[in-house]
Amino acid sequence: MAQFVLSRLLRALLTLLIIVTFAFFVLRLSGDPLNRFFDVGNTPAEVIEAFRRQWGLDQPIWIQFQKYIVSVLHGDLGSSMRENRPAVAVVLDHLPATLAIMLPTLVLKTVLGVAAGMVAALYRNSIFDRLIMSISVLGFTVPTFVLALVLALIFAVQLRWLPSGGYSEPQHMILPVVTLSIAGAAVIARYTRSAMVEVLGQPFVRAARAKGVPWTTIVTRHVLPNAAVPIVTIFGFMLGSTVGGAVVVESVFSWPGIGRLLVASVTARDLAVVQTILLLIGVMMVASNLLIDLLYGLIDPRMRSQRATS
Amino acid sequence: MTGALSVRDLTRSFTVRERGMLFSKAKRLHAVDGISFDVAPGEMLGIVGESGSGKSTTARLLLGHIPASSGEVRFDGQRVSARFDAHWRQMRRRMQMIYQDPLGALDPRLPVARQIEEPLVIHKPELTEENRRVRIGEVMGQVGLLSQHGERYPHQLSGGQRQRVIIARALALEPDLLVCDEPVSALDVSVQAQVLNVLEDVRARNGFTGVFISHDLKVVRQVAERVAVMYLGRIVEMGEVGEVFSHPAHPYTKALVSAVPVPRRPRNSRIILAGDPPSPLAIPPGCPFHTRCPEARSGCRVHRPELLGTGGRVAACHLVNNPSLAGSEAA
Repeated sequence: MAQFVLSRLLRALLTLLIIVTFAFFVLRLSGDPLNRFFDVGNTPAEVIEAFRRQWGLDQPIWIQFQKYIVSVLHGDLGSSMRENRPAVAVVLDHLPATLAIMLPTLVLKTVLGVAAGMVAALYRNSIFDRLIMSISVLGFTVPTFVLALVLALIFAVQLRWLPSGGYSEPQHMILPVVTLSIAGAAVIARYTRSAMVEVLGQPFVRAARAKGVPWTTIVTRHVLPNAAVPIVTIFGFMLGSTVGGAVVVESVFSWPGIGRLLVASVTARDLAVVQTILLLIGVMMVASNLLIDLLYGLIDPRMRSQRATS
Repeated sequence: MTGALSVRDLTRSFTVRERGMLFSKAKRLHAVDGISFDVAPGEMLGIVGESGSGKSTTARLLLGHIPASSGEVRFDGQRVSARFDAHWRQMRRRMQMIYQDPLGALDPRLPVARQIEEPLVIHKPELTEENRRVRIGEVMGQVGLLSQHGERYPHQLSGGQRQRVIIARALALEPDLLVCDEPVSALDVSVQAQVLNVLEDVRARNGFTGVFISHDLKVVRQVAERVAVMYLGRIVEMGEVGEVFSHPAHPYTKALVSAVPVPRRPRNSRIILAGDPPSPLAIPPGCPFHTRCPEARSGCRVHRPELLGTGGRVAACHLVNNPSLAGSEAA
């Protein structure tokens, strides 16, 4: 078991290194921050030179990368060029806003999705199943920006029940949360339904019924726990994308979260901020994957003994 | 002793959709077609037949796992329904099933002792946890499992051990009727013998009524007193195991019996049936077996033979019961 955790941790570190490297080079290959901060033709050469020296851009890219990795390992993620303060501070400033919509979304979509998927599976091929699955197809085929705009059009522009954007009152949260939850719940409902349908067809469920076990007990004791693995997998993926998952929706509803910060920072080539956000998303993904892997062991005794022997 | 099982005109057909050019066509599949038999209390009836002959459907009908299209099953005079209500669940205490695939019939997430315990929790709520623990130990001992096996998960046991867990789970409630659907066909021959011995031991001790389904005649001969031979959802011959297998009357039974390998019997005595059984979607008119029967006559294609005979020994064949109906020309 200890070996299992250790190998997972090492692999997680490798994943993070790859993310950091990729972000570093792609950002620098795709444009020079100078062009964003200065009108290069009309700026004195000394100013440009000083800017380059200040941010270390005058050195070969390999040296820059080496310096960057060393400082990351020391816990220094660099400073924002736009705000001239540590990138971490900039990102942390935007984190509460993102969590304020993403955490309710995570809860809402999981509850909605699992409940809808269960109903669909238990009443398979009924009108409920058809209805839920049709809505769910709609939910994950319509892109979130379309859904966001449609919801804004209906509830903000036409009915004037809710604000179309902003960040001050609790009702500002409603439209972003609903938009994100619909899309997420649709995916979770599909996974839940197919996982449940598969388990419901298993002989041990029929055997439990033949033992005379009441149906609700069969569902809670035998069906749900055995259907949990795929549901937990998709939940873990969504947990991992909580921090960086709302780029589009935050932009549509002018929500001052990480997603919008990412868009703005990429446009401005604010290197340190973009790298910090990507690293944060990476850490979240890796951490939730690790958590899910450990959860599998709790859910499924077969995986537990595989690990014990490997 | 209680536990008389009586089956009358039991029929089960399924609607199957067949793909057409534009729309699918609904067709009736007769899985079980008007079978009747009785099993006396404490008796074990074997049911044999090739795959698709309706054996497993019969098993599920007997226990009310699926509703019958017509006909009825009575257990001690009580009609077995397939309404999954409280009464149905209560009847489970007396009727249990053993499955073909022991791994599939066990929840992969629960230690096997918990699975043996489950029927006790439901049907004998008066038992304390300690009582239940003792009872689990008893049945596990009866089927030859050690107490340390109880804490294992299904995947940590061998095939034979898993099937013993299934048997222990079925026996925990001391059922009056035990339906075994191919309980040993997924096991090695050596393990088969162990599991069959366990079943026979337990029956000698507890004395339940049994229905034992198998495609293996030797296995049925070992465990059952009487046997019913099924072909395309109908019983074609029924009687004492020894008699049916040593003097088969129906041409189909003859072919089945001749296919059992016996040392020192000349190989050319084997009756080889031509082709596969017809699709149960299109059961031949007259005698359903006439398309493959080496002795078929012209009349066999027209008249459906009834299951007739004396002294509990019955066969559905014109040549046996009423040769004049079969006609004289070979078909």
